[in-house]
Amino acid sequence: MHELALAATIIESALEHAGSLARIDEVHVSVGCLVMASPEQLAFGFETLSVGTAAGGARLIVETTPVLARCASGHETRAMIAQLGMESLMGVLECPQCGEPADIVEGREIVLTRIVGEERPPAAGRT
Amino acid sequence: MHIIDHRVDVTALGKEIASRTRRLLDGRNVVAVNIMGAIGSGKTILIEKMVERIGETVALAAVAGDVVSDLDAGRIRRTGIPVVGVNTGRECHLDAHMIEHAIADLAASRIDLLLVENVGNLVCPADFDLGTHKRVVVVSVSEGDDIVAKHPMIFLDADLCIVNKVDIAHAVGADPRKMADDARRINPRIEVMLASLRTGQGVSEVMSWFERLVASRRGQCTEQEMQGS
Repeated sequence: MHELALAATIIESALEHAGSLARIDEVHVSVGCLVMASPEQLAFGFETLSVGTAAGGARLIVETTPVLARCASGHETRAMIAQLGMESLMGVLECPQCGEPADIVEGREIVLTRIVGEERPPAAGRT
Repeated sequence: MHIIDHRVDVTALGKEIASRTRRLLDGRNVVAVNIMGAIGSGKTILIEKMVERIGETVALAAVAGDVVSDLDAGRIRRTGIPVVGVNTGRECHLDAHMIEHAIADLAASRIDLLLVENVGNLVCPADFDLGTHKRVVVVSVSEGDDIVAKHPMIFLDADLCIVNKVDIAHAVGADPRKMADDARRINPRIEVMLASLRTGQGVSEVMSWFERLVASRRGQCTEQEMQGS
């Protein structure tokens, strides 16, 4: 539901880290499956808010990444959770190996992984 | 075509502002609590009851988040404590940046405990660290006793869950103990209290939780002062 806010921060990050790119064609992000945002709406927010920036017209490519949970005994569980209901979440929050509570280590982050675009043309010499 | 590979945390700025806010609050010896919950669950009445019950001994202030109206801020203002209303516009949650500004508006007030009432929503606020020290979720039986199971993420980082309106649980066919059990299963560290903020049932226990929070903060400060002296 807050995809617009997240899309705005993705655009800001992309513009900040675009280096010498004059035009951005693709922005790749990995989004943990526990983030409360839908990839389709993120892409829509990105398309809408990027207009007029160097990322205007660029495509947002979202890769959903799994959750990693670790219990006190060090057992790790990795799983892709599509529906964030209690039962699916308990599959990682209660260690499948020993039943002890596990902490979420990964799965709640949004990471900018790649920017694809065109380099700035070489500066023309002064006349 | 040119490709730049990165590994940039997109939410870093929000996290940085949240940490900065926490340091600022620590410097002023203010303990802050993010109060989350669905629309109508009882977030505002919790603040009203706190002013009534512990307002004499604890210097309270509030930030009231609402999408467009000023109604919640108005209700809190009538209790007499300093309050800043934050309209999020189209946004469904408060974020660290909004809180940073709201706190600046409260700079002149002496505050022990800052109560940040989030926008009524059990989904989005889960993703945002506001720079507060503790998180409280208020759920009410009228939302159905499967409300916790439907929104597990918001309970993951919460410190206290108040199951409100238990006095009408029978009338709405909800089992408050199921709600409490679900919250504890999702987050074994969470404290759960059954209450009716309107009738007063269970309210003393809730107030004690907040008083203990302020006392532990004061204890830490005294310890630091003693170490410093």
